[in-house]
Amino acid sequence: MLQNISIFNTLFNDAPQPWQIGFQDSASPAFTGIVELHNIIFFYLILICVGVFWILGSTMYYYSHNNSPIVHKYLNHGTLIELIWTITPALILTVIAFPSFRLLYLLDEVTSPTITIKVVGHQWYWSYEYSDYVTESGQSIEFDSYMIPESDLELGQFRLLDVDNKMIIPVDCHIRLIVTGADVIHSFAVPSLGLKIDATPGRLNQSSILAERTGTFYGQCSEICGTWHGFMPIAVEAVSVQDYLAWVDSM
Amino acid sequence: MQAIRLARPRLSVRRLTTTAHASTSVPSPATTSSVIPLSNVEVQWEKMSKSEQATVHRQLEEIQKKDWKLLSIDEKKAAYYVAFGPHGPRTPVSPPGQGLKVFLSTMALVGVAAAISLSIRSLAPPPPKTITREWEEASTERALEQKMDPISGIASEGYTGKGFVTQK
Repeated sequence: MLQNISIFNTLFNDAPQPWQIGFQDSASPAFTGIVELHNIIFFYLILICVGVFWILGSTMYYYSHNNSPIVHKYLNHGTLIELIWTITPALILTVIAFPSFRLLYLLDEVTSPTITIKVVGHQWYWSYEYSDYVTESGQSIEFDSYMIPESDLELGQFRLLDVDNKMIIPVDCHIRLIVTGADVIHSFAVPSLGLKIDATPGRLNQSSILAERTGTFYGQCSEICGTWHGFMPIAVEAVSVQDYLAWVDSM
Repeated sequence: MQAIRLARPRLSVRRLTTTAHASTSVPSPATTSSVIPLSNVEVQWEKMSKSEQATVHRQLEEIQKKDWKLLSIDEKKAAYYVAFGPHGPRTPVSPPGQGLKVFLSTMALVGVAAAISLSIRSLAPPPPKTITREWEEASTERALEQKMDPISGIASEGYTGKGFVTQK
């Protein structure tokens, strides 16, 4: 069990695993940046924790009943210490804010996309539209993606994660996502791709993907959207460009 | 602590003179006539009448107009006890010596909670069919086929973990 705790053995996965604590594996520059920011902020977090627990510990030690039975009844105000504990957190927040905003604006950027995919959240499934292509009947490629119910799962499939139709994307291609909701607010989230974007009815939100390796990446709706909110997973399969074209051709 | 013990005999006969100042503003029968010793107030506090407690309050208010560091140890103790001591709304719910009773009551409640939890669990449906060793091993195989975690996890070189297997 100890091996599964991140400080002993960092876990990187495309899907959550039993007893997982750490991040899933990064498959896109966006998630790599998020993990990097997490690590930077964690450094400051450790400094803050050491300072706070040192103050708490020394207070408990020196002002215990045994060491100091009579306390100064009116010692409830100290200008210097109050200045210190107000200004220091403000400076720390400022230091944290710079890399955070930098990453935020980088993630907002949609770099000349090759493909645009429209993602629509429904109660309780996802549908995908590849409007860049037209089928023989003149329609754009559209399909729904439902969770496979437990009764239909084949041996080895991931319960509550596997879907009947995965969203297929090519690797190493900038892809634009247009995300919206058909009924209530959903949230399209795939951790290993660094994606979490609200699917809001009447609004088109935009994000981008750049998958850097092939594989299947799992996610889940991340906005409470009703009774079956926990049963509308997301599965994104990144394939080579040749396989992607073959898949498009087959649709 | 030694200093406190030494201070007590000297101050036990102390009588407050500050009541004279307080009585100059609004004289009242309770304040003008009573001189209450401040040593060992915590023992006497519960036995005092409301008016006596009010007198002590007033005495302490006057005393504390001085610099706190100039107060005697008994005055500090009395001021602290009256302001923050375990009386009135701060009276402990369970008096000293009832630790075992509190512990046993807590354990009884924990037992009731455990019984409720177990009875609800007994009504729950069986665990899903995916929670078996066979299925979990198959899930691990599938993860390998999908090249899941090729950097440092299941599909990485030298991986020695159990993958999705948790059942014995």
